[in-house]
Amino acid sequence: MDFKCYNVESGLLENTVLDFKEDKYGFLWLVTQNGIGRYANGEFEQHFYIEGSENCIYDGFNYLYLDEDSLINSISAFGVAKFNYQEGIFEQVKKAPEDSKFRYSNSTPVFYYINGEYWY
Amino acid sequence: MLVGLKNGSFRKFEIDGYISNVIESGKELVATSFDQDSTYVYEIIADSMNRIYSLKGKSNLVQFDSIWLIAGSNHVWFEPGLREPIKLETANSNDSILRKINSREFLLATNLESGGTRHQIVNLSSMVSKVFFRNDTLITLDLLPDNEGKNIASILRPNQGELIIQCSKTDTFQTINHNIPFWGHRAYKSMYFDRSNNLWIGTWGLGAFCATENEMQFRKTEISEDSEELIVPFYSNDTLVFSISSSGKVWQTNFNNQISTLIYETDIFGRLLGYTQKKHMIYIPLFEEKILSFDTRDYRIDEIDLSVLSGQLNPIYATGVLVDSKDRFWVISNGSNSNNNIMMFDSDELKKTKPSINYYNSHDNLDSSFTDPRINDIFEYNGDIYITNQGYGLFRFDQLQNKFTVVRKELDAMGASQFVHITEKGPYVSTYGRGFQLLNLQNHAAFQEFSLSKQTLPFSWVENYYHVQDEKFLIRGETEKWYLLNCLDSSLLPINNYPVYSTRLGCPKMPNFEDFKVLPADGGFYLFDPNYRTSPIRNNLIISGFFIKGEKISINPFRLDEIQLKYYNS
Repeated sequence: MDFKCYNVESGLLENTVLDFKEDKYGFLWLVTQNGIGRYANGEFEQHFYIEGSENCIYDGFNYLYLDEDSLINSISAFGVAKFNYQEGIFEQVKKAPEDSKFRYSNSTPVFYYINGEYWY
Repeated sequence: MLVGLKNGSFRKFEIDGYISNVIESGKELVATSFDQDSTYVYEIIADSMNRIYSLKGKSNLVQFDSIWLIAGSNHVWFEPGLREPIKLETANSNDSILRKINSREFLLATNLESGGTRHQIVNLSSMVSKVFFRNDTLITLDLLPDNEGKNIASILRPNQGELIIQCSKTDTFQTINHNIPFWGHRAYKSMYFDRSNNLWIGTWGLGAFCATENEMQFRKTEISEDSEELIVPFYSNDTLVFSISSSGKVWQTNFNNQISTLIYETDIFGRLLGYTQKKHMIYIPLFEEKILSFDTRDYRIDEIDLSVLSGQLNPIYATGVLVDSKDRFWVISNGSNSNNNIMMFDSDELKKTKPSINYYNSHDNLDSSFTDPRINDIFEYNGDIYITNQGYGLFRFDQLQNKFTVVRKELDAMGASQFVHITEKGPYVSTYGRGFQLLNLQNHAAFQEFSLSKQTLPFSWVENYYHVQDEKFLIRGETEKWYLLNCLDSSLLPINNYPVYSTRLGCPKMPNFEDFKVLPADGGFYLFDPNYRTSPIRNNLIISGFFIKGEKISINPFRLDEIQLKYYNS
């Protein structure tokens, strides 16, 4: 038995996978350095965009977390975005300051949601 | 850089290095940061005035403790070489913290010394675990070698509505045979078992790998001195990549580029000392006349301040809480002779401004021979309330006389330590001098006695025990050895006679080291409080770990130079 490999050639956005999240609908979300991928039925849907933004969720580190309803949310350089499952897009609910810079060490995320506020 | 969005505006603090952990405590934000080489760890504190404080220390001196602690410990030790306990200090209530806990935005880390101390299966001075409440799945795990080089894994998790401790000792682990071209453990970035029990492994630069646990091929490996690198402790900041399969196995990456899980030799379970569980509620005694209630349904934590109720009870060390079948609260303590040792009140009294509380002490209510104030344990059996006393054995509450009376005269001279296990036949009690006894509470005799005089144990002074399974007990006596006692068929099975080196034996509820100014009960909450900065602790490093919104953030070491753990009494 071998591990099945998913990489860029098989549809993964980027080959460094920092985290996995599974939402209430059974979608598996993969966090890569270049964006977020969603895995379902053997395929990746990915590179979700924030509504109104010109770029992807963040061309770098994104941090996913499940809210109280086990739905996917994202924090990135663009701020906080909540995934709209009907529209299939992330919608920004909080915009980050323009001079934000982000770093992370190993797999430790740099974003924190504390008492209704976001720290990063 | 540390930027915070607070009250609608961002604050920005420039710092060097990586931010690896952030907590908010009271009025302050605390972050830990590492420089580029992870050589130095910084602790950054930003107070409510946006003033920044930074501490710097070597990160390779790491030992650990937790910042958010539940299940408590009566003695917290750091790195074995230091042999210095953290001093726990009393402090005022911190409503902000309590609200955060209640809101579940912070979740709780724990150490298992409470249970571990009781079981004494390993020197727990270096055994501190984390607890992460997460959808009622596994909530804590730690893996550390004991003094013999064996490895101990401890898990505290909900089981059918109760919190149980599971300790496992092993020197064998299982490794996945794989062909992933990993070049080092740092290549593993993430692991996850999905709902179909597929194991997903995220890598650095190699994509994601997926396999089903049931289809995996394994090989077993003995843990030896040469294989230390195969065990990655969970407190390590280096590797936090692990996941739990549906079968309950905890898989983790190791320093040898592999993915392993321990094969447990022995599973041992025990209840947490001092706790009581009533349906979905867990009640935990605290120092200074407080009880915490913990609702397992929504993780809500409330405080019952006994001093507000009356101000008369003075249980110096609350050792246990029992909520009996009549919804009466019983609080036992290690009070002094002049104090009330036991208090009891109906749960309805909690709603009253001036509640009615009954007190029992060695002078007025307890039997005249009951002169030792230390109450070790309390339990309900067939509607009666029993207590064990440190010096004078077993007592039963007499409802008519409203006092505790001795029920085992022949036990007077030895003292009973704890109720070990309650069966249909009767309770097992461990004693100081009469070994291990299965009591017949109908005629105040013993069904069975396991002791030196009965030639069924090599000792009669039972210092500790561990309920293994099916009424089998691993017990330890004055010979410094463990013996497995099978109480079902009365046979004695001394299969495990390896020595135990723990120095924290004896009554597990009474730490005996000096200079421990505040001594909490076994069950309790502890809080790392950055607001408290007196009597600096040197050379102690802690690992903090917590969850936010159910997501693991980090378990990171940082140094305690000017910060103390304090006992969190609200």
